[in-house]
Amino acid sequence: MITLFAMFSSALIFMAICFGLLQVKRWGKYWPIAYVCAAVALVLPINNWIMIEFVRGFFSDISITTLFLVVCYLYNTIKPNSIQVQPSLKWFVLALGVFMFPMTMGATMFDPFAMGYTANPAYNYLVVTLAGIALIAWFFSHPHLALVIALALVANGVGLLESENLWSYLIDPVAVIICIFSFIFAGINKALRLRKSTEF
Amino acid sequence: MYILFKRFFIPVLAIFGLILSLTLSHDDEVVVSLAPESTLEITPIFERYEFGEGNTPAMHSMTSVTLPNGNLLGAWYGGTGEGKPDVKLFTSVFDSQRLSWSQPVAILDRYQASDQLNRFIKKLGNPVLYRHPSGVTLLFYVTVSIGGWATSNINVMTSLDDGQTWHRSKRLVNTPFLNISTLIKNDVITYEDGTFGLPVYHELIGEFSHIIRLDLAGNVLDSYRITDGDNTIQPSLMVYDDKTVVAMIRDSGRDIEKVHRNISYDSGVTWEEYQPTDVDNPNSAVFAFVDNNNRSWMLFNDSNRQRERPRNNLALAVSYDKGETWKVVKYLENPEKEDSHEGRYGYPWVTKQGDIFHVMYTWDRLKFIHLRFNQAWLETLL
Repeated sequence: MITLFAMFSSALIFMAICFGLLQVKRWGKYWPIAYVCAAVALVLPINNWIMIEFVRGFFSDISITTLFLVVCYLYNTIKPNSIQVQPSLKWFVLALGVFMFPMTMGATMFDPFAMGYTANPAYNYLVVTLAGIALIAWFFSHPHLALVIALALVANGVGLLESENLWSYLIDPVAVIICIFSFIFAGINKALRLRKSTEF
Repeated sequence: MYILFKRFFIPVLAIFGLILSLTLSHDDEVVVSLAPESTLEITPIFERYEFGEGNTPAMHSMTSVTLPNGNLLGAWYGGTGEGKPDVKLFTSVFDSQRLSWSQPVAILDRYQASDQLNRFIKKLGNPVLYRHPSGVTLLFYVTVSIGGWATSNINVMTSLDDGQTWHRSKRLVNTPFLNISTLIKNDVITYEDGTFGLPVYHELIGEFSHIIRLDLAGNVLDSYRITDGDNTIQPSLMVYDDKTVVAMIRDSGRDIEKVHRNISYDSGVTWEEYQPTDVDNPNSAVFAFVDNNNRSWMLFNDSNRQRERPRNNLALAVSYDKGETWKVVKYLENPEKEDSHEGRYGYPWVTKQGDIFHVMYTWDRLKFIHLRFNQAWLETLL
């Protein structure tokens, strides 16, 4: 199950990269052609490997958060603007990245990633805190954030990824990069809209 | 009903996830398991063996464990050079009766590792063998999919027949950053509850050491930071009692160039402030071990980077204060410590087998040297 899920995630992330590079959003009703091309490219043999194995080798197993963002992106290429990922989720991911990555790279003796391992004394507190954040987010109408945390907790509980660490289900650099670019593009679009409106 | 389901799907999912995740929680006390006391011989034994030469053009990073019949199982990587695509992991058995190593057997290449791990593998690296008290042999090894050693991952495969056959590899996840940059070099410590601590190090951006605690299934249970990202890699652990563990650590920087030391009083869970010792270190691996009289010993290159050939000697030093101060008692290679001496000696490894100690190290990356000595021989050096 772990391998199948990882391969599925790798396939989706490869498709998202292909769709982004090919600007499939602009293809309109011809998007299935891009889908078929990406699907074929996924199983293209290169030396002794197929493309999907390279993707998994480079990206490792992606988090549930990244998977959610990628699925939203792919769905939006097929049906433009049908899912707008809520900023609360993106800010949550960015905040986690800022908190987590410098320390896991050795900035301090404290290692927040260790809290996600099941034998760590902080593990239970972390699980309860995240579930609490999910419930609060749901209560205050941030369903995307609530859903991602809830899915991550369930995926961690059933061991859907090869990692035994809860953080691996919530965050990875790909999610952070997607969120950063998402904010940049949103900022550019807003500036362009503002410029257009002032021109009139 | 549907509206209710739709409305409460997310909170129900969150609570379900909470319960599922909490069921995984462990709450075990971490206590180091100590090796049984052994009977000591009075007569000093010191023997030297060479092996591996010609098997592959280059070889490195020897590791070994004791088998139940008294033999040793050794593993290393070999190929045309470090990091080359043709590098494979090899094993060999040292027969303690015949006192010779068997013909090396290739057990894993990058294609097999790719197949087992279901992803592209560019190269293989450092192996570490560990024999669990239950009789299972584990082989940890490093793989890289993209870039250099700083983007390594650790994997483990197990053997139920003392290394004759190996089961599929499993990837260990140690960082949230695409799980890259964790490597291994030195020996494992066993805990009383059957879990064990693998000393590992991180090399991307920050270079630091930590211990990952694992169970027999290869699940990572916890991680304990020994140092922060300050050029301190390849920790070698010495166990003095069920709580006291000392780490001797390689310096990978250019400022201090000394072996670092840190101490833990709770079985390696939390550590004090790490400090450099007086022992020179030219960014090369060290291996520290405790003898049967609770004295500390360390193998290292007694040199610094200013020397033209910083790895052309291999020193054996003793410490009476748990690794704070060291005194070199013998040079196993280049005894005169001549600067002009050709040769690179590195990646020492020690396996303790009761009264007998097996030291292994790489000789110019062309072969391995295996020294077999006992406690009585160590006493003659004091």
